[in-house]
Amino acid sequence: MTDSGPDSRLKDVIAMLRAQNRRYRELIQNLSSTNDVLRASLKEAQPRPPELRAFETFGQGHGSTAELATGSPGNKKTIQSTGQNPEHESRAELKSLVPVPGWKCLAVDQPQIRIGFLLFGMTPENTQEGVEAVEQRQVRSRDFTPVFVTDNPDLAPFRNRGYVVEYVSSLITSSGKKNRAHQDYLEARLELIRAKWGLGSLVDLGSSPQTGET
Amino acid sequence: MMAQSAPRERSTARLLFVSSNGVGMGHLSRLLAVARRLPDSYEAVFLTMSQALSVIAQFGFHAEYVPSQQLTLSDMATWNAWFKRTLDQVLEAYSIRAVVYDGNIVYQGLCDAVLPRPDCPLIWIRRGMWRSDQDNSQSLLSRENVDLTIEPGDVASEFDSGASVEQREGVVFVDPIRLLDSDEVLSREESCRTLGLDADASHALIQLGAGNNYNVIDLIGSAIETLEKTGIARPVLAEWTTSEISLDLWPSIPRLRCFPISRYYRAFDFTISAAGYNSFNEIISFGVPSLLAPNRNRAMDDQSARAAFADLHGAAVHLDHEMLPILDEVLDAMMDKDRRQAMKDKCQIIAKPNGAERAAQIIIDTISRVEIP
Repeated sequence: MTDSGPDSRLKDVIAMLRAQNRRYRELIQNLSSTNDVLRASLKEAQPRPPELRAFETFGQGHGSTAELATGSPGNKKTIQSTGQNPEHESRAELKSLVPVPGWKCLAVDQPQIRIGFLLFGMTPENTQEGVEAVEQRQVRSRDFTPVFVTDNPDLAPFRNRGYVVEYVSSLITSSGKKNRAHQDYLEARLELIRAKWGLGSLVDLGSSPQTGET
Repeated sequence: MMAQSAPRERSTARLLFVSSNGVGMGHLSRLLAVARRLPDSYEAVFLTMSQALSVIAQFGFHAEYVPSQQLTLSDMATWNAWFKRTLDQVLEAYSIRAVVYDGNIVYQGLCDAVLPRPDCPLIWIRRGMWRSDQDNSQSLLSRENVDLTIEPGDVASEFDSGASVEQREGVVFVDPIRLLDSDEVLSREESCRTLGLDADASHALIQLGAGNNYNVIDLIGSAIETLEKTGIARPVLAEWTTSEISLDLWPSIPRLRCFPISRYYRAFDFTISAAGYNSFNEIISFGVPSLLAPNRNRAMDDQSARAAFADLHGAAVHLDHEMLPILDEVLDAMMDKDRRQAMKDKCQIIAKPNGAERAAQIIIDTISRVEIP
């Protein structure tokens, strides 16, 4: 950039905010176009109809625990041609993703700090409570966007509130313990998630994924 | 195939099944259908943009999740770059031998991660029945980047007039891929017992989709109102696992929230259904009398063509919006036992075998042709 004076920087910021506002408007329009979503939310106070649940165990036994190998992967070729070797890429070269701020704060048009909330080893009820607590805080302060990281495969508490969630599986070996390769993988996953969403800080609301304690 | 089978032995070749995030469960269901039919010497791991992780776990598979681009305020290129890095990490960590992808667009991030690995083939499962008014030329060009494209057939493929029809060079076709085989669908008695329904009463299953991209509420409301007013059959509402809305607007109506719903089809005398790939092919293959109400969202596949095809063959009724004022007459006609039996007979005529096992075999054959250095 040749012109780095205050006016130019101000223009850049204004352009960025305008682009962001456009995106928010699009999101709101998309949300508003699905009348059923709004109608459903208006009817929340009604008694819930009976829910039929069945077939919870169907299909089990067809898969595997997908244990991670210890040591380096044996027979992989070195990455060639067009792809860059991810191990040697500088993450600073790639801008982080901007997460949607959640349904209740879609209209907030100021740049948000992003905070990662870790919810590992929590019951579904505790997960729900954790997300609700963060949402309440966000609605009050309107100064941050949460990105959740969970090991619970039920992502409904996040989806229902329009939040970004990353799932990191609590993969257990056949001996019931996590192996070294899995520990390394978890750490690498969390680091990638942190860089990907540009998370300024991580707040642990559950137990550490490194230990798997509940 | 039995509903319950013995746990698999540890295997050496691991495949990564990647699904994009559709409106319903179509992409994921097809991948599950193939994965559960792999030989024991192969193992499936999932990386999905669908939030139905619990469904994958239910089938005993290990799953990783990556949020889709729609959950960001960022551009597609940036999302793709991060998608590539996530894939790089997963491919390495799990020592993946091949990638099987089901989605309408082969993302650049997927190509960038897999193509530089010559010992890791990329296989695209891409359904047909694209809408003729969509411009899918760029999406379909993706086949040039993959090692193999498998097109799962469709009962209504004769009515396929979409862009994929003209671009079939090098594409391998299989019969429609279904999650369940016929012998996995429970009997009426078993289904009713499991669901707590009276097997002697009449039941209508309303399954009009996840409601994520069009308004299903009005049609559901009309159907429930008519069924209750006439007492023709007791309605049961299917609620999608990934639905963003809860269909709890009708407190007296039971909701069925499970996967796969087709396991219980025989509990129902008929269904009022959308005509997405899975629902349609299952309804016809399992011989369920149906009123088919296509989801006409422009982003969807050609559901109207499916409904029209089945209607033409007498296997279903194409429930058009113009028919809503006479819905009570249509529903009344569905209670005619002979008419329903005729529909079942017609379904049998146009039904096709399950192509999932064949797709699994083609994938294995493709992998076996790749030399491991």
